[in-house]
Amino acid sequence: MVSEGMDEQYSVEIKDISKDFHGNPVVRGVDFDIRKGEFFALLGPSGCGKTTLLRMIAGFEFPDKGSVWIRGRDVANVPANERPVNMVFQQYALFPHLSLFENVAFGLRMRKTPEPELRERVENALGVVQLKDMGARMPAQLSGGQQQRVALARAIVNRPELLLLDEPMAALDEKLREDMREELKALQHKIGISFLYVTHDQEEALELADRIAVMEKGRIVQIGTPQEIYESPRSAFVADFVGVSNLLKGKVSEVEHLLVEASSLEPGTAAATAVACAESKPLRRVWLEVEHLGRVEAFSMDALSQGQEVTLSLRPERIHLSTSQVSELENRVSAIVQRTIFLGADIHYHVRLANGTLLRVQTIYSPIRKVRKEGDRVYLQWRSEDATVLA
Amino acid sequence: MKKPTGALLLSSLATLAFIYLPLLVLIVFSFNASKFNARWEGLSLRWYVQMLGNSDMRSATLNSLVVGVISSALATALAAMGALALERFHWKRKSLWEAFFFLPVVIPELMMAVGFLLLFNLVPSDLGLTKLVLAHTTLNLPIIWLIIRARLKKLDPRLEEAAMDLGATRAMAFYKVTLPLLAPAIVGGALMAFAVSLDDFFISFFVSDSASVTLPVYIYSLLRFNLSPEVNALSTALFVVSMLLVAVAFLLQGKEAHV
Repeated sequence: MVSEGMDEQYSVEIKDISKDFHGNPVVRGVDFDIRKGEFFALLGPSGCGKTTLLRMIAGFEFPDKGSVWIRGRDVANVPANERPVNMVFQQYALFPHLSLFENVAFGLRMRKTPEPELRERVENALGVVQLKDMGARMPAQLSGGQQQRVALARAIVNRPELLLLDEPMAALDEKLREDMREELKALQHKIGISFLYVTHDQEEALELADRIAVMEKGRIVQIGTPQEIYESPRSAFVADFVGVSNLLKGKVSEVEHLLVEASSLEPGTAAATAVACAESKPLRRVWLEVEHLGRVEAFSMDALSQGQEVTLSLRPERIHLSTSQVSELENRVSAIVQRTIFLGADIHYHVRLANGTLLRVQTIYSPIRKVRKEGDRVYLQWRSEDATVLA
Repeated sequence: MKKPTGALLLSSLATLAFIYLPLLVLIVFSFNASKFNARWEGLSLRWYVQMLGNSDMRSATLNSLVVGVISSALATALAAMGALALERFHWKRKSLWEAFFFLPVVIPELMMAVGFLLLFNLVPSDLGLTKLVLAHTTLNLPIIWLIIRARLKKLDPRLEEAAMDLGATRAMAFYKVTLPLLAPAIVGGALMAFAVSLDDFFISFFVSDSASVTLPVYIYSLLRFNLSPEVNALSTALFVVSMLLVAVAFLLQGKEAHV
C-alpha cells in the first residue's frame, strides 16, 4: 500500500517497468507519475515503446517487471476490465453494431449501473462532447471528428482515474486536428480527469501537455514541461525530435570556474529559461571549439571538463540574420543563403557556412525587411545564452 | 462506366443462356402435362401432385432435411471455433493449419466418398443416418469456415479490447461484441452449408443405404427405371429451395458489408 498523501497527489505511479517481446526489450526500466488532473504526453518516434507502455497501463499487456500504482493498488497484473482507467483508441474502435447511446452506455452496463442513472450519465457525456440528441445514430453515419467525440464520451462516462489516448488525432485530417486539439484541451479542463496522451507529433505534445515525457528506444530520456523540454533538451535526440535544431559537434576548450548568477542572464533566452525551470541549478560559462564555427561561447548546467566532446544545439529562431558585419551579439559567423522558404508569417533560410555545413535559420517575416535571396552573403549572430550544450 | 453493347452484349447473353438453358428446360418440362418429356401437351401440376403423394419421396426428403440441419449445425459450431482459434491466437505455421481446414473443398469428392464408405465399413454396428450426418459435417465444415474466416479477418481485434477496457470480461466481450458482428457470417455460412448438404449426391450415394436414402440419391434411383417427369418436378423443387437458401445467405453477407 502507498501512503494516503501519495494517493491524493497522483493518478498513476509507474515504477521501473520493463517488457520484452520475444527477447527484444521494448520498454526498459521506465519510471514516472502523473499528477491528478494533469495532461501528460508520452512523446516519441514509432517503435520507441510508447504504445506498449500505454497498453501496460491499460491492462492489455503485463510488464515483466515493475509496478503500476493506481488508487493505492499495484495493478501491474490486473486485467484491463478491473482497472479504473479507460482508453481512446487510435481508430476509435467504436462498436459498429451499437448506436451512439449504447456505445457510450457500454461501460456503465458492464458495471450494472441502474437505468435512470445510466441514462442521465450517457446523456451528459454526449452533451459534453457536443453530440446531444444524436444517441440514436450508428457509428458508420458519423464523420471522423464525431467518431472521435463518441470515443471520448464512451471513456469519460465511466469517470476513470486516468484517460489513456493512443494517437487520437492520427486518423483525422490536418485542419480538423487543430480544432480537435483545442476541444480536447478544453474538455480536459472541464472534466478534470488526468490524461495520458501518446503521440509522435511534437507539436501536439507541446501544445497540449502540462508535462511531456520523451521516449527513445524503450526508455524515457527526459521529463519536463513543454518549455523545459524545448529550451533545455538533455540530449541531441530530444533537441532534434522536439522542434528543429542545428546540432554541431564541438570540444570544450575553456570552463569558467565562477558560477553565473541567474539574474545576470538575458531574460527569455534558452539558458535563462532552463535555469528558471530547473530551479536555479548552477550555471557555468564555457568556451567551445566547434567544428566549422570556431570558438563559441555558451552556458552549461553540466560539469564539463576541458577537452570533452559535446554537441551544441542552436534553435533556428534564435539565430539572427543580418547583412552588416557589426557584431551585436557574442557569436558571429558568415554564411551564404542556399534556399529561402517563404511561409507567410515566417521565412526559413537554409544557409551554408564557408566549410559547407548547412544551418537552418528562422526569421519573422516583415515587409519592411529585405528578404534574402539565394546566393546572398549574410551574417549569423546569436547570444551565448541561446546555445545549449549537450554533454 | 459504359454499358455493354453489340457483340459484347450478345456473347454475354449467349454465355448465360448456355449455363441456364438445361435448367430452364427442366423447369419448363416439370409443368408438362405429357408423360413423355419430348412432347409438350400443355401446362399441368400433375407431376407435383404425384410427387407429394409419393411416400418414398417423402421419407427421402425427411432424411435430407434431418441430415442437412444436423450436419450444418455441427459444422457451423466447429468451423466458428476453428476460425476463432486460428485468428485470435498465435499459431506456428498458421497457413498450414488453415490449409487443413479448407482442403476438403478441393479434394475430389469421389475420393472423400470412397473414403467414408471404407471407414464406415470398419464400424461393426449400423449407424444409419448418423453416417450421413458425419460425412456431411465434413463436407460442410470448410465452406462455413471460409465464410466465417473472411468476416473475422475484417473485424478489428481492438473492438474486443475496447469492450474489456470498458469493464467486460473476455467472455462478455465475445458475447456482446464479436458474436453479434459475426452473426451474419455464421447464419449465412450455415444456410450455404445446408444448401450444399441438400444437393449433395456423391458422398450421400456412397454412404447411404436403403434405409437412409436422401433426395438426390432417390432422384437418381428414379432415373434408373424410367425418365419420369416426376423427376423434373422433384429436381425443380429441390432447385428452388436451394436457391432460396443461397439467396438468404447472400443477403446476410451483403448486410455485413455495411458494418
